[in-house]
Amino acid sequence: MADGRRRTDPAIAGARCWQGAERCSGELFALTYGALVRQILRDREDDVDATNAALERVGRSMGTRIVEEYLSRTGAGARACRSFEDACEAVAKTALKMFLGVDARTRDWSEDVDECVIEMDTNPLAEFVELPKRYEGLCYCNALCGAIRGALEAVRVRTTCAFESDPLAGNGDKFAIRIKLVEIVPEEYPFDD
Amino acid sequence: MSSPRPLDAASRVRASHAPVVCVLDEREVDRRTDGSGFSEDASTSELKSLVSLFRAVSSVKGLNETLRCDGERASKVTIVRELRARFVSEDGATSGTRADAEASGTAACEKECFNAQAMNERAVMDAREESLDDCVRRAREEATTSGRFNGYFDANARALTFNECEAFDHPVGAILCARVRERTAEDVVRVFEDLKGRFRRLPVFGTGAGDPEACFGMALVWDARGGTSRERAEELLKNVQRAGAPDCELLIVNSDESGSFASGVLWSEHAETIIARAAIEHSGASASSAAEGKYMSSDDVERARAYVRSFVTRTLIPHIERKLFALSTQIYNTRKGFKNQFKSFWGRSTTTASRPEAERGYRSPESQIRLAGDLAFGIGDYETALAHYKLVQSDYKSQNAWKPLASSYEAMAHVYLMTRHTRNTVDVKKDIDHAYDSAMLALSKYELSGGHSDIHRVHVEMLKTRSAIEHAEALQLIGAYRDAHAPLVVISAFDDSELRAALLLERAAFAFVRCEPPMLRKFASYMVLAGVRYVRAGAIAAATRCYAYALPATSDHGWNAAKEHLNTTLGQLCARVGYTRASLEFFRDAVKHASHLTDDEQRVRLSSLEEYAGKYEKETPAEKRDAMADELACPLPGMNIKNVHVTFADDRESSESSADNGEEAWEAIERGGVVPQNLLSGATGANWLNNGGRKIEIDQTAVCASGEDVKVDVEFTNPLRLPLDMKNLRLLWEFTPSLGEIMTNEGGSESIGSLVEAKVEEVTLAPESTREIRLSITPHSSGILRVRGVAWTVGTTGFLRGRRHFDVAAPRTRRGPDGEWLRDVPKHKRLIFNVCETMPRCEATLEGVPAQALDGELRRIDLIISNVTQPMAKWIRVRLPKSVLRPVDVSHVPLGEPAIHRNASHDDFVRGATGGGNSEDNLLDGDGAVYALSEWENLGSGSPIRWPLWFHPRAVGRATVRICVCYQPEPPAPKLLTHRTIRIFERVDVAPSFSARASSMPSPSHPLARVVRLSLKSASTQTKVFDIESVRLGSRKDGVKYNLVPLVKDASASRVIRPGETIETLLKCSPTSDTNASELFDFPNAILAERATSLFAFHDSDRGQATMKHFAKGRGDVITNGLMVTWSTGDGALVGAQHIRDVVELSRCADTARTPFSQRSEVFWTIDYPSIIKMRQNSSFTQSNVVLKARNESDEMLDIEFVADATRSAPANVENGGWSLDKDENAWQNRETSFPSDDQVRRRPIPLPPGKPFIWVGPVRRVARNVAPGQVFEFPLTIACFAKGDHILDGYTLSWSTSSKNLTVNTMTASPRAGREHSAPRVADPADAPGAPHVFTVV
Amino acid sequence: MSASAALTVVNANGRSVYERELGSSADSVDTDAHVRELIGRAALDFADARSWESSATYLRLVDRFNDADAHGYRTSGGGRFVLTLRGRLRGNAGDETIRQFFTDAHEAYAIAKMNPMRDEDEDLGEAFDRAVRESFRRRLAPLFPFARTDE
Repeated sequence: MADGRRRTDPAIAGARCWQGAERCSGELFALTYGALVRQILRDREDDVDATNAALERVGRSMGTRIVEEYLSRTGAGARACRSFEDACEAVAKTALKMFLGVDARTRDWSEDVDECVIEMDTNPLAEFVELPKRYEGLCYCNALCGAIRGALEAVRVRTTCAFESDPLAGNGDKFAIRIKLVEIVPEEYPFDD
Repeated sequence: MSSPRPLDAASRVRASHAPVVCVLDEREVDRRTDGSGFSEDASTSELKSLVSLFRAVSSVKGLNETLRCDGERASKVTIVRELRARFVSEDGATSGTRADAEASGTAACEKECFNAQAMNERAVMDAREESLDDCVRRAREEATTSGRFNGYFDANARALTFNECEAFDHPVGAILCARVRERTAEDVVRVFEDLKGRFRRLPVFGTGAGDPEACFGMALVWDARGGTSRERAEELLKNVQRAGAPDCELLIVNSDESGSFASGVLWSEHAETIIARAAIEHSGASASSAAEGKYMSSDDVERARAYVRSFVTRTLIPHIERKLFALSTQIYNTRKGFKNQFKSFWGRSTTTASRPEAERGYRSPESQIRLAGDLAFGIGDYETALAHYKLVQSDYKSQNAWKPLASSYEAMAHVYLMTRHTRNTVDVKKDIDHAYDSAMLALSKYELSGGHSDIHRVHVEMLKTRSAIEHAEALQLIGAYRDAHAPLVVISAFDDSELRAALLLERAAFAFVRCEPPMLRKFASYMVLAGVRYVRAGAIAAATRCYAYALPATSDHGWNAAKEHLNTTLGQLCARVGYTRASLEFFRDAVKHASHLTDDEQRVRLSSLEEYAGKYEKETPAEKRDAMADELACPLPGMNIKNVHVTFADDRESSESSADNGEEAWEAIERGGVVPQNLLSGATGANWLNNGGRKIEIDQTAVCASGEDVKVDVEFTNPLRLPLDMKNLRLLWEFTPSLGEIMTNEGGSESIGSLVEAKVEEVTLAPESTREIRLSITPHSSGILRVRGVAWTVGTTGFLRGRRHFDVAAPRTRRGPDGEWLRDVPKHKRLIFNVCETMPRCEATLEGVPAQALDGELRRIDLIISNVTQPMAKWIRVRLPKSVLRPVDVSHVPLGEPAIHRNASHDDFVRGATGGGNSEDNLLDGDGAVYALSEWENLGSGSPIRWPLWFHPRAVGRATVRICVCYQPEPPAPKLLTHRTIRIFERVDVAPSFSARASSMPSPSHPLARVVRLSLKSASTQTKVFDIESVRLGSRKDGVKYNLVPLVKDASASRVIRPGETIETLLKCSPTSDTNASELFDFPNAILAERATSLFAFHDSDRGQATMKHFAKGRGDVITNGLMVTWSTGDGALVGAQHIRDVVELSRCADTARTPFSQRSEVFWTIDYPSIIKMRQNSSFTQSNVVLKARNESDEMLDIEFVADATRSAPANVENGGWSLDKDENAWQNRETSFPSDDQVRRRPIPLPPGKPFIWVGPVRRVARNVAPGQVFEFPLTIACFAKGDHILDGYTLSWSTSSKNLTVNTMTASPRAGREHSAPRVADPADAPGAPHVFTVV
Repeated sequence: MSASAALTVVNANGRSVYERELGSSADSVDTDAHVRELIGRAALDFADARSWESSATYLRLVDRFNDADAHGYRTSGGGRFVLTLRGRLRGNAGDETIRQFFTDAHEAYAIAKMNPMRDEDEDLGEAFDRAVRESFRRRLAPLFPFARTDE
């Protein structure tokens, strides 16, 4: 059904917000995140799996908070992300652009649209980073997955996210996140209007 | 030989420049003449010779002699405060050969370099952990004390002294000693005379190099042990003095009868002695023993000192003064002053041009200048000396006399060195460098000039070596340590003797360690170079020392290659000396750093390591060794002690890897009813990994049952390039039985029949690989089991044993009682096991689960539970995900949440179940249904249960099946382990079959009646043919029941979905009165009822999970539970069902009894049309005429307008295309006539995605004006059909408005249902037509 | 004529964080790794000494051992690079080129130090290695009779 509201191109919307937002230097950002990861690793005594899980949790709580910001800034009501497809597009085109200034796109949509891959051109988190041997298996940017998951959950889209290709871990040359739909939580309407 | 502290360069120079006084002793002469060697008593207890006596007292202090020795400026005086004469024996005053130097030099450093024990094992081993500072301290200490360097090169220097061109070596005086015997004074005087003669015949004067004019002192020596009496000696002295030697004096030796070494003089302590030592030694005298001259009494020495003093003051100094005066005046006359410069210029150019060396006797001017310089130097008048040296150099240069030139340069350097305090260091350094460099240059020229004779080359080499060493020493003296190495290294580069090169390099290294801050890396590298040379020279001890020095310097990060090299070499050296222990240690370290080597080299290292491990073990008795430490130190293979992974007998994994599905999910499931509540309410969840009371929870134990083996995965790394086979690989455990004392296998090998057995493995690690190895251990009794570590044996010979103890890394996430961080060892890393009594263990598997499944298919699988242990397992409960699995036997009802008490029977279960009023909805976990069947109350060993289940995946993608089985042991159950669960985890990839969508429209026949349009779309990837069997509405306990009637002409035809097709089916659902109507329509050859019912059970079970339910909410809809379409594949192999949760209600019900009057529309209309339209062959479409009859129900004139909506399209399977549209919709008006007639079909219609089954053609916009009330107006219309199938005649709008003159109607902008005001037109949809939908079939 | 080049990097704490042979000519008599190390490390001492005397980053030729020249560089952060070159350079572009090479290395070093996953005393990662080799191939390799510029 073609609703009258005319959608602006999400990429443009994202870019606009990115322009609007005040920013911090990329180095500072990358290093801060790096420090975070190091600290978590230290607390976990270099237990890589535990660290991945922890990063994921951190990301999730970030996502659940940040989604509010996103909705208000883009002015897209929560219904913009009702369908999984819209949600993914929003994440790839708008959200990543406006929070990380990253150009990203979705690809590899599955047969019945419940799974796709978000491919990022760059990744400010992973700047300068090079994983030493003893940390192989560490999913450095797992917080990103967590954030996406958290944000989508906040708009009633339960998903699972995982890195499909991660240059740091030495597979693939671009960061790509595979998102899989678990379910769309039904909103509870008042029974009769 | 006690080697005294070596002199520093300055005192060395000073000593060597002291005026030489030759001592001629009558007795020596006799010895030489009558070949009788040393008398035996002399060799031990007596003085070597009088020389050493004089040397002991040679330095005369406290003088105050003023000398006027400058010819040109008589006023200039030099004051001598102290003078030390340099006493040489008659044969000492000759230069030696290279061979002698080699011999004595080697002898000098024999002890420190070649004596293997010089470097003892302890010292070598200490070097391994020595700290840098200690190393530096040690090195600096040794640099200043070690005698080997000087010891060796003094020989070289000594061999070069007394050569023709160094005047300071030429004796300026002599002391003639006659012995007291039975003879007359005349004889004595005669003796003096021929001693003089001997002096004149010394080789130095023989060559004419030295100036024979010297001063003489005479002494009469009375040996107290020589047999003659003292009185006689006194008397003889008087006679001699009278007889023509007036200044002769008496010296007394050996007057101390007791031989108590009264004088206490160490004869070897004195500068000259040290310098001349080399000479002494190779002149055959045995090493000076402490007993030397023990008969000398102290007043003998005093007497000698007095004599020397008087000799120096009365004879020597005046002589030097005279000589200097003469020389300087002469020099002044010949060379100084303007005219002389001029004359000498000519003179030299003619006469003195390049005079052959032989003729450069002492009379030649330059020799005299040199002599003057040296004498001046001798008495400490350095300026004069320097002036003379500078003066003479020009001469030497001009006549290519390279050797003297060089030596004069060196002398110059000596001056600089002596006067170093008067100027600043930088200048001094600059001058010294310049002097020695030019000396070196001159020497090189000398080498060239001298032809290729070997002797010559060797000689020059000696000279060079000496000058280089002097240079280095001088630099070090003025503190320029950083540059001191250069000359030494240069010399060592072109040196053929390994030993000498080694010594030089070592010296250079020491120079580095002495600078501030110490240059350790330089130090280390030069030490290594030296070490290499030492090894070649066969000086093992020295080599070991060098490498040991280098070791601490390379201790920091990196340096792999260096470390490896050092350790290997040290290992080999120690092996040669026989320090097995040390070499073992070194080989170990070597292997640690061997990763960069080629595999052959590594093999060698490894084998030598093994060899020495074995050797050590054989040599040293067990009690001496610390076997444990050795094993811990074993370098191979690398093991990750931080990371382990424990797996239990029932292959229970516990991974914390993925946060969303994993432990948490299982926890939820197990708490979701399968495990009885009262068991769950234990300290921690009765999950059998983290079970155990609080107190054990502190040290974080895991629970296991005795008799079941625990598997521990350990990670090994093989750093080498060759495969590594490990034998006897086993876990180290420590077991505390519940009764009985602690036991362990730490000690040695497995003891058979112990309460715990660790399985022994044998594995081979691939080169440069990391591998996880699974070790298992089995406790046979209850108690606490700790897994301590791992032990193994590497290599072919069993000697290389290794072991490690676990230190599991765990996150510190909890605060302890007093705020410190506590480790939370994750469950799969816990190594303390709480072994409880034997438990029953069951295994459960799913049979017949396909890897691939079709979406919605129905499959029968079996769950098999069997008890693999002896004891009985009780009260088995199974939890199924009811959305995917349900029991085949419908009589199996899931339980609610029964309260299970200890030894409760199964009836209690059921009672609890029924009592709990269990509808499936109030189960704890959303998708779980728990079953507990009566026949599962007891499960003996070896009697498997087979439970048939339906498997019905209903979502495309990866369907995960989690089944959880819970059972309990016979009561009383062990406290720690009240129950067990089995987790079954299956993944099935579900491929899409076809997608079903449904929409319902109200049907006018009855307010609740609906027409449902099913559109079934085969998945794009699908190749199967699906045969639609039946359609069934989701049942509803309360509320209307329906009868289903297909609105299809031939109901008998079976519905088939071919790949890529979409078919549509229309069903009319009309409400019926009988309450148990099967709301079901079977197409021909429907599937078996029981399957259908089971499928329907699935459909019903997940009521309430409709995802998009809200679309239908509040619309007065009727089909709330969706509907189910059963199907079978064309070949009938598979049956299944698609479930449609949400039937979209298209639009409000049209006029019905319910509709209020105001809502009724003024126009009723219907359409006359052929219900079946035959498709014409060889044509893409068929036209057909229909008539729309519209009746004005209202009571006023209406304008009715029919508009075919061109854009509306119903999805359909278009076999051969649809009709193409123009851009603008108005094209329809102009298209009226241009429509091709049947017979002249030219162009095939262009496919119009998604294609239309039919479109309105012909005039598609008709207006009927002024239709009177009650009048029926007929619109003749035409449709063109393209597609076979059942279609609804729609895609138009009918609109009307009260007609008035000049009223223009614009339907497009009209908003539907806009109130009831007149002017605005009213628009109606096809669905609003009474009797709609109008369905026709194209065949 | 045989030639080879090796780079040694020591961080401000004096820990060696990088040590590789960058290239060697086909006929280069395979110098033992430990000799290479010793030379490189030994030169560091002189590099230090020199860096006290001059404030410049590029320390030129700091040490020479037999036929091996050691060139030094000192970052303002206190890291030291030593490039050990065995064999003579073709042409005389030497000094300037080496300085450029060091500058590249310095950049790569700075980036490598930014890696949050790397401890101060850990080895510099592959990225640094790649950068250095690249620069070496571009700048210095042409001046050498090198057969292979990467092992």
